[in-house]
Amino acid sequence: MIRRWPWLLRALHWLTAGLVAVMVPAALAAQALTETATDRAEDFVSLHILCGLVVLALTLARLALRLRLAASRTAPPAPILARLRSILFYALLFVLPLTGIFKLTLSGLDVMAFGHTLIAAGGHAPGLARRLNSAHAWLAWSFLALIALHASAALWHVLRVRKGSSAQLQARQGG
Amino acid sequence: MRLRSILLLAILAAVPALARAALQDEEPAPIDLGKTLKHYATIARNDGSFRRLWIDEASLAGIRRGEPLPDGTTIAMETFYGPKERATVFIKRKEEGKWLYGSFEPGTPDWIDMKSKTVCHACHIDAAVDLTFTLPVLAKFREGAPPLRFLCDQPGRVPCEPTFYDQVGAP
Repeated sequence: MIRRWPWLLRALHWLTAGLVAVMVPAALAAQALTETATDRAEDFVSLHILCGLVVLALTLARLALRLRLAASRTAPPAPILARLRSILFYALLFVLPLTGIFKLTLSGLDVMAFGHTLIAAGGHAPGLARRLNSAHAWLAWSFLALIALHASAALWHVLRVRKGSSAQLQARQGG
Repeated sequence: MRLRSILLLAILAAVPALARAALQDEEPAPIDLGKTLKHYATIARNDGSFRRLWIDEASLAGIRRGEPLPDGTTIAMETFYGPKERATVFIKRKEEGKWLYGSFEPGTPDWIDMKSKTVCHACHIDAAVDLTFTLPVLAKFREGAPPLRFLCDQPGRVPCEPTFYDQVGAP
């Protein structure tokens, strides 16, 4: 049986997925264009930053909603692997934007998008900023690996359920 | 198969040596950068590309080892994909404690419309002090060394570790 989440959670899930699908190629495009088309690269970075901030806000909303639903839930809890996956996803959806924000602000730089300052620089800890810069990159690759794993597992699950349903149907028709 | 592996290893081992050799050859002639600047370093990369760095004389006089660069500091970085392959010239200038960045194609200097650019900051964050990798190299040059020529054993625009620039610029 496929467990159906409330429509609002599903909407938030797909909205986040869509933003991630934009922000990852935007970051890669910015890196690729830095030396040949700096202004276009800057636009891609701006897009990456804007999407990242929206993802952070959506994750907060999603987590609040899930906690509220969990309090009123009567269904049995999800399997341990599914719960672990959720924890990892939420952790990364929080930590990735935060490392992105703090790597800039702790270097004395504003968080900017399309020429507008979104978050002003604060503090000065270049050593920590360097570590956050490196962490941001490593966590991003881990996030992509987790997405690949999650998508494969979801696909496998859907196919298995479909196969089970059609087998049941055939058995009923045969009987 | 074994011969191919040996050949591949030999080529990989030769790349840094080739890059160093490129530096020892006569450097490309200077071009008009739109300002009078002093050449302080040429940095080769292990893929055969190299960068030539310039600074304005007034700011050079104000450099103190380990300290952020003074306001008004103007730095230009010419990029070359090979001895005869000039590419973009990157520029940065410090105003009110903040770095502004820009770029232009060789032969068409343009110092107008410099901006704070996150795409540039993203790499410069990894510099130890003042978002400037070559700060120790600048200090050594300021102390009387000739323009420094060295190899950063990384490809293209991947910067070396800050400790590497500390070693190159050590007094």
